[in-house]
Amino acid sequence: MELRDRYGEFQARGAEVIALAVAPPEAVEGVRASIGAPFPMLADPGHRAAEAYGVYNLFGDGLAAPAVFVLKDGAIRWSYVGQNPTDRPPVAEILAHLE
Amino acid sequence: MESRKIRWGWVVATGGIALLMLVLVIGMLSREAPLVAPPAPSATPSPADPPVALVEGQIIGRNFWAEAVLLDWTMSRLAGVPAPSPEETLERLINEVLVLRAAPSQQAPGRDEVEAQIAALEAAWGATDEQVSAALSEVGLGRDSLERAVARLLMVQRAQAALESGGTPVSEWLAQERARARVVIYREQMQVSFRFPTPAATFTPAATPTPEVARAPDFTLEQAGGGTLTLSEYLARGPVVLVFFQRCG
Repeated sequence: MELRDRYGEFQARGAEVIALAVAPPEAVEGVRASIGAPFPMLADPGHRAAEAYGVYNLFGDGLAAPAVFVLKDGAIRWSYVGQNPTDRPPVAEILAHLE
Repeated sequence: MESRKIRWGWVVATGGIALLMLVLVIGMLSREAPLVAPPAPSATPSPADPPVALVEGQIIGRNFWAEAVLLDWTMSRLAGVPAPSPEETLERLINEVLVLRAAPSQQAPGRDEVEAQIAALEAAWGATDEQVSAALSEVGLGRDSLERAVARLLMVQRAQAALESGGTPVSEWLAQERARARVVIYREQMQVSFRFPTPAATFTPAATPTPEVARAPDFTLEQAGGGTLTLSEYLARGPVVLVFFQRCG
């Protein structure tokens, strides 16, 4: 898990990583424990956050599409919405948008 | 053009459910199917439905093609793959006409067979029938469009199998047939602005640098391991990278 392994680079830029999934809290806790995520992981079972960010159910699967939003000063500075369930931006690209 | 032929050829040369899924995903779809309508495009153009292509004298009408484009888009969305372009969809419709012309006397599939294939697709997509119907209605289509498309797909598969039994790999046959056949494409009739639902915008560009500054919607959610987290409290301290992940486990 590259995000976990390079978490220090986010911290070095003063940024926090927050992960979310459309899933019940216990399922998210299971993932957090299994990968040993050092950052907060949130459960969005009612998909309110996923809908607010426009990533809910894009594949008709009732889940959030994989997506990354860089937020700064209360605004969305950059976003990447995966075109399929495994499409994610490289960590280096996310970091570049934190500069 | 060549790569499209190869891809299509590869598709027709494969078998089984995987084939059905892939073929559906890449859009072997049309509204003409034996369940409801006669399978072949007619010879007379209609002013309300001008031809987008003429294949050996058979018309592919604009409505027929436009519905196939919308179905392709919807199926691709359900499968989580990029949708083919309207031009690619037309290429496949042309290939279908050629295959069906070459082996015309295929038995129309029964409703049970069509429903079984739709169920298999839904299982592969991990989608319920309601979700599929909802996705179709977002582009203005009904489930009957999917039924006709699947019925036609089964017809095309039978025609392919009949051609293969003659000893010629369909991919090779199709490449020759496309080179030989009289195919006219009326590009001026393809100037259709498809209105895909809003989420489509997020599919098109892989990376979407947000052009204007948009406020980050705030939320408070339950945190794994206990407690709640409010986004705005974190944002007050510095930048936040919000990562939506899809699968648990």
